[in-house]
Amino acid sequence: MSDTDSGSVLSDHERTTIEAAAARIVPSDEGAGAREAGVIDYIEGLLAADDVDTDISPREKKEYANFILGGMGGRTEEQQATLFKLHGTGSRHLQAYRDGVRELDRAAAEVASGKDFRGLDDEGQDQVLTVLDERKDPFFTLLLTHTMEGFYGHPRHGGNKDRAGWEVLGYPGPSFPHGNEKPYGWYDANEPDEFAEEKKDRSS
Amino acid sequence: MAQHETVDVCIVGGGASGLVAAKELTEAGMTVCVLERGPWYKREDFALGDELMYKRRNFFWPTVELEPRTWRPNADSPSEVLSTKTQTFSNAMCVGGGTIHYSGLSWRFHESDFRVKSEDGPVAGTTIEDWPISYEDMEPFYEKAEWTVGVSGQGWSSPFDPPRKRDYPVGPAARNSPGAALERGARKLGLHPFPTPLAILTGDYDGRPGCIGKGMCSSYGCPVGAKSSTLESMLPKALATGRLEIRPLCLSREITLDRQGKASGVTYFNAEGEEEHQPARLVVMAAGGVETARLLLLSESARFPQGLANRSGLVGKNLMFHSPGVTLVVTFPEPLDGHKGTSSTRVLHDFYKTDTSRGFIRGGFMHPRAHGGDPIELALRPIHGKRWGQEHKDSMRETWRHYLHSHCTGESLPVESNAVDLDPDLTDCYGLPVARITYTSHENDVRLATYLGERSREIYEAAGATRIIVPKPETRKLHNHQMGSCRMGNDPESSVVDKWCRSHDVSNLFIVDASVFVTGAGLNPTLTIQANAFRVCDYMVTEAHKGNLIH
Ligand SMILES: Cc1cc2nc3c(=O)[nH]c(=O)nc-3n(C[C@H](O)[C@H](O)[C@H](O)COP(=O)(O)OP(=O)(O)OC[C@H]3O[C@@H](n4cnc5c(N)ncnc54)[C@H](O)[C@@H]3O)c2cc1C
Ligand code: SF4
Repeated sequence: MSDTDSGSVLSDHERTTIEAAAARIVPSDEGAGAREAGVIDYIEGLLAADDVDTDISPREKKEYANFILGGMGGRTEEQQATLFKLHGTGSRHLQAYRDGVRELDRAAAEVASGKDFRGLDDEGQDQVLTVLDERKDPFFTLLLTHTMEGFYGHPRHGGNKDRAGWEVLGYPGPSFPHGNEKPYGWYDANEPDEFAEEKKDRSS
Repeated sequence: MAQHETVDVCIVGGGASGLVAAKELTEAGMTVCVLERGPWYKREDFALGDELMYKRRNFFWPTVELEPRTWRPNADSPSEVLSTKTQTFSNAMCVGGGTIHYSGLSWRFHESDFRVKSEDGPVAGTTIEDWPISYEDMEPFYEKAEWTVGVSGQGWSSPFDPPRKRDYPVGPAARNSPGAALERGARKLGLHPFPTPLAILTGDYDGRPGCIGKGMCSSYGCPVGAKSSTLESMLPKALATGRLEIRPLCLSREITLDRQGKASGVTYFNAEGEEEHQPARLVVMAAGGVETARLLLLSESARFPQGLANRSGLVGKNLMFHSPGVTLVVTFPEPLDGHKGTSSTRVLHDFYKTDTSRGFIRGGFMHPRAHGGDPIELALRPIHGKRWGQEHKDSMRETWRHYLHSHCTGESLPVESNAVDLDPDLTDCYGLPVARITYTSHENDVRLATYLGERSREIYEAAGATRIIVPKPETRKLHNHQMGSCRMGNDPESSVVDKWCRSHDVSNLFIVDASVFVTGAGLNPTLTIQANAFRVCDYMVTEAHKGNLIH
């Protein structure tokens, strides 16, 4: 499958092209962008995930999912990871990405002859992506969705490295187990609350 | 096929209604088996705070590849397979069902909701009817549901509420900033906001702790045990009787009949995909408004060629999904920090009653929500000007702490052609025909949705919002409020179950989910589903003691 030794399902060329496109979808500025947040690692993880998807019948896939969910329950990190992959559609997406990279290169050559997508400057790359976006190219929507998932999603899936995506927003991340104290925001702190003095427990 | 030992009751579906029935019936001394197609997650499984896994993958739902559903607007149009996005805004398939990840808004339907036809009918193109029961019949069971499920709120705080005898067991949830913003705008307009009644504990109650306000609440499970899902509020009590067996990952495929035409049990696929049969003296359907109808239709026989309990031909018909939105996105100059707290804390019912001068009947309400902490969802919302690039990223920075989304929930009128049936062309991974949904919102529903959107806009304008996006009404293809597909009534010709939710055709078959609703009110349905399940179980237990049900 791969033309490198990295164990990746993508070739070097595919990998770096997707990385470059993701970096235009969430560009780096004073804060991290898709590149620093490792969005490409998230996407590669997704695409590599789905051996099970291709080889077995839907019925067997269901039984396999049940097997992971049942018994001990889908509770260990490893079980959950397997389930996550099983529910992805990596193998189908892999072909879409392969074709998508070819399409990016083809469109790039139209912008500047002799160049592939990676060879364009930021402006040229934006131009290519805009063309795909405007014609509602399904690969572009897939890439956009996965880039947002990899940038703003939970770091446990390989993207959002060091919570770089959350930092851009000023989001401290999920707050379990500590929870949140009042006030939550400006309005509940400042708007009078006529129901505030309520007694909580009425059972006694 | 493996046969199990006969139980008194087999319940299909372990969600909002199924586990209420499991608790009530086991506590009354019956032996019960619950068949639940999904997994049995535990509290600690909900601890990860992972938007991707819980909300965007199939943790709660089967994949559309393995278990699809289809939709078409009307019988003359081809059907399409529902997308993952639509399917994942349906109810969870796991022990606890939709109550695992619901927002917990817990309403008593208003008195007029039980008599829509006599108040506002008839309306062309609809099948509006009065319920065979009234608010007064339901009132004691609403109270029982509030105190058994564990609902927080403040009784008598809305001038529009139906009468109640007792307050909620615990006080209302801490107000969040979206709620405070609603209050600010609503008061300026002379409206009456009040604390949202929620199936979320705000302090210790019934052995469970109060909410810690952590966000990631709606669409997520609660790792604290504060959300009053049936996993938390009903299941432990049912298990404690020693009379409940719950079988997760077991998908029911047929209700079987004996020679007299009574239900004899349920055939299902176990986790390994093998067929087993659970014999039972009574069968209770609690699989939700889409799947209960599907299962009855799948259970066809020489006696019931149109599907079980379907002599009326109404199984699957009159499906109601509530009015088609709308969901506003609103930003404010100061931070709301919607990633904290539970989602809904203030609502208003000023637009609930019929006012024919508006050009439609019935009404609904609006509830501004804290987003809970879902940055991917925000990133994919079409509100940023551009879908990607620097402009998109800047917009993310500007909106994240400052936005709320505000839902409008309104009544949808029953229309006979809005229906669930079996798709003739598509099967699931077990080879069973999937549910095909035929649905187009009635014109009244669309007007109502538009109206609620406009009133919401005024409120947020008055509250000082910087930006208010009011989209057009949605195309309803599926929803997490699934009502009406086996309506209750006194006449076997025009209803599927009687007022005790017992099949007119099969005397030991009951339905306790929202399939039995005659009309859907303009309110989230679950507390009413559960109060009704308490009512039906009360009847079943009384009848059983008289020897009329179980011999
Ligand atoms: C994000 C979200 C937020 C919500 N918020 C609210 C709210 O604030 N207030 C409110 O009132 N409602 C809310 N709801 C809706 C609420 O969850 C449902 O109304 C409620 O769960 C329906 O109860 P039920 O008993 O009919 O079905 P469910 O709770 O859906 O239970 C049905 C169960 O049956 C199982 N089942 C189905 N078919 C089969 C089969 N063939 N064999 C075996 N098992 C089967 C399913 O897996 C499921 O567990 C929300 C829903 C969602 C998705
Ligand atoms: S906000 Fe409260 S009720 Fe909701 S999941 Fe968190 S702790 Fe549970």
